[in-house]
Amino acid sequence: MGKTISVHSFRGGTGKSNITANLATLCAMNGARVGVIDTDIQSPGVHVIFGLGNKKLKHTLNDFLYKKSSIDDVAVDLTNNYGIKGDGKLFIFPAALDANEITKVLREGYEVSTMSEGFSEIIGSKKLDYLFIDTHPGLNEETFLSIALSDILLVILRPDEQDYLGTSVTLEISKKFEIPKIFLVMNKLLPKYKAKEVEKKLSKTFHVPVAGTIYFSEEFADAGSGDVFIVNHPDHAFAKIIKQIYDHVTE
Amino acid sequence: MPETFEIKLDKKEVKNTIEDIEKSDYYKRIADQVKKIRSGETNQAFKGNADKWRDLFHNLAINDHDSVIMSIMHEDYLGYQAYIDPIKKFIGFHKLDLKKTLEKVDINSDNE
Repeated sequence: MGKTISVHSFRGGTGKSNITANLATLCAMNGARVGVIDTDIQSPGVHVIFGLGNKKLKHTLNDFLYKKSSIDDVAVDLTNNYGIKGDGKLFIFPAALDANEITKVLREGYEVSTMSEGFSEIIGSKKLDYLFIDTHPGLNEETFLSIALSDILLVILRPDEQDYLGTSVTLEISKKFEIPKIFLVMNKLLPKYKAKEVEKKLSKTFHVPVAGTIYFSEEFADAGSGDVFIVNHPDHAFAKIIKQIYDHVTE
Repeated sequence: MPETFEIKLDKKEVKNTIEDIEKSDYYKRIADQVKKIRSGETNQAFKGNADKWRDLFHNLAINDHDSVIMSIMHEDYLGYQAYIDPIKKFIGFHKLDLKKTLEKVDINSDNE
């Protein structure tokens, strides 16, 4: 049965979409059938990382939420774009980047229940092993629902005091929802700190395991979310940490 | 030379924020659905039919459960939709291929 993995952060700019895209691609490269859904409808971006930023998308998640298309119509098959072989498959369910569409969602909202019904439809129709949900940052109804429906929750944070507070609240609420597996991922850590020490303090403070610590990288920042980084940089330190997170998620 | 990493966290503010969230309607609504499914209080959620629903949803071999489907149809299938909804959110309900199974069953038949 397919597993739902939510990737969440309390604040924007944590690298959530990048980690989602890279982790999902690695899962597909290892033979899993994977879907990525961008529920950050108000500031979507994960499809830019998958190279769909400039392409005119026929259908988006916004159409599904307003009942203009089926969830199947929204799916974009990216399997061939990344040389994924064997049984692996990679689908993305993108949200609209169009300013008018985003404004509409901000103005009118959408049925949260339609989104959650979409999750189970997606897992079934594409026979997915993993459905990654790139959530909207913060804590609100749609975020809670994405979290509550998850089998695995990855909470991304940066070394920042506001992140600590929001992360702590997010984790406490998630524990109340009894999510089977919850992991923390520290991103953009400065090289002056030791990863092991940071991980020890994080797990002691938040009482959840740390799946990985990613150092701030100029090379990664320079890539500017323009591609799935691990595909072109398989030996980079970032790729090694994504592999480490993959091991935690799939064990 | 590595520096010492510190995490400053205002536990009182965390506690207050969580309390505010717990008071919200949407939290209560979602928490209620989640609790019913995960806490084992399924008999209440499934109107006394927890066992057969548990069997049904934990087995993907729907053909083995045709009798369950038929009995549901005889009772009042639509009445079950209300508590199918929260379950659909946790499992690939369509994987059960329910529609196909229902097509095989004559709803007006007395033969179970």
